[in-house]
Amino acid sequence: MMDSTQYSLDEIRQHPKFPFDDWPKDDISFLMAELYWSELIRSILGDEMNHYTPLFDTQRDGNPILDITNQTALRGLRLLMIENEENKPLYPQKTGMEAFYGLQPFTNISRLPDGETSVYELVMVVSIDERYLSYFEYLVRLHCCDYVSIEQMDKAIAVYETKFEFFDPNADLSED
Amino acid sequence: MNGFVLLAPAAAGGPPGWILWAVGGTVITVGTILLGKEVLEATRADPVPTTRAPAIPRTDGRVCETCARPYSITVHAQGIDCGGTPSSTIGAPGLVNPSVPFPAASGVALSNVTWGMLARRQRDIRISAKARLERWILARPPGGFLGKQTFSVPGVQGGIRYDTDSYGISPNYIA
Repeated sequence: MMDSTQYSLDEIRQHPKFPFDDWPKDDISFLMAELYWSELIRSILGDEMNHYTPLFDTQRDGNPILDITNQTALRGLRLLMIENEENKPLYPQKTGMEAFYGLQPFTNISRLPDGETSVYELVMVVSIDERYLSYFEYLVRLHCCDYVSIEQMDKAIAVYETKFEFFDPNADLSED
Repeated sequence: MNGFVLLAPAAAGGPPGWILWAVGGTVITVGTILLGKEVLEATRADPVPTTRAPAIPRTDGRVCETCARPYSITVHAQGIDCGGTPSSTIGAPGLVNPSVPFPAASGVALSNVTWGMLARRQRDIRISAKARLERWILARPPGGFLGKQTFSVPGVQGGIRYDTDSYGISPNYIA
């Protein structure tokens, strides 16, 4: 029962509507999903969270559901929450572009609100599916706590993409 | 409860009954209303401080009048097929204006310029992402938008996507 002053992740997971699949239409589910992602990030970052601030608002369509930046280290983390609009089969029933994945990460060069200062950003397209949790935590920690280089992040993400059989566009570029 | 209805039989008894009907009906009706109000208030719980989750606070969306920053928007194709890394970018130069925010139509126009810079394969894989981006710009939040919008190609390696960024002292993509 959620009667504490701070909802724990376990309490959020015990909510009857978890994983809040109806968030596109239900405001309560959307808010609970937003709370889930913020608490999950808080639990992964620990004290490192003190260095991150939200510079851009969450949007009701989930793009983004969370956007935080370390303005000193110029690191950002942005989560885009998506729904399975086309009812694609979940990985591993299908793979690549025919599948719906609960985690699709990539690196990005973004900007601070001044529109000029570059921020090295980890962007994760996500849905609440805790089968991806260990990879999600690993990548967030690598980027936001360990501050590894963009090249190291790209390598770590490539390992994940290969393991989960994402479609490789470089494998089929002969026609161009 | 309506006292006038309750005492209606008394009204049928002539003038003395009419007085009873008028006075008694008023007393019963007013009393019932006061009693009902008291019962209603008694059944309401006192305001209790609700527990609030420590969600990440919202940003301050007010116009930043002291920030000397221009309005700017970009629409870019990004991903490994745009130069070899997930953060590689192809796109038209961003639009910049020192004092006037950009309307939604500028974003769509910029998208079409960027689209013209892409090779066929770069376009083919982004057809849906471009459509979603332009649909979003045209629908956009009522007050416009500041920040980043990303429309990724799902299930593909290397962060293939179509993006727009919007910066300024107040939102772009207004009417």
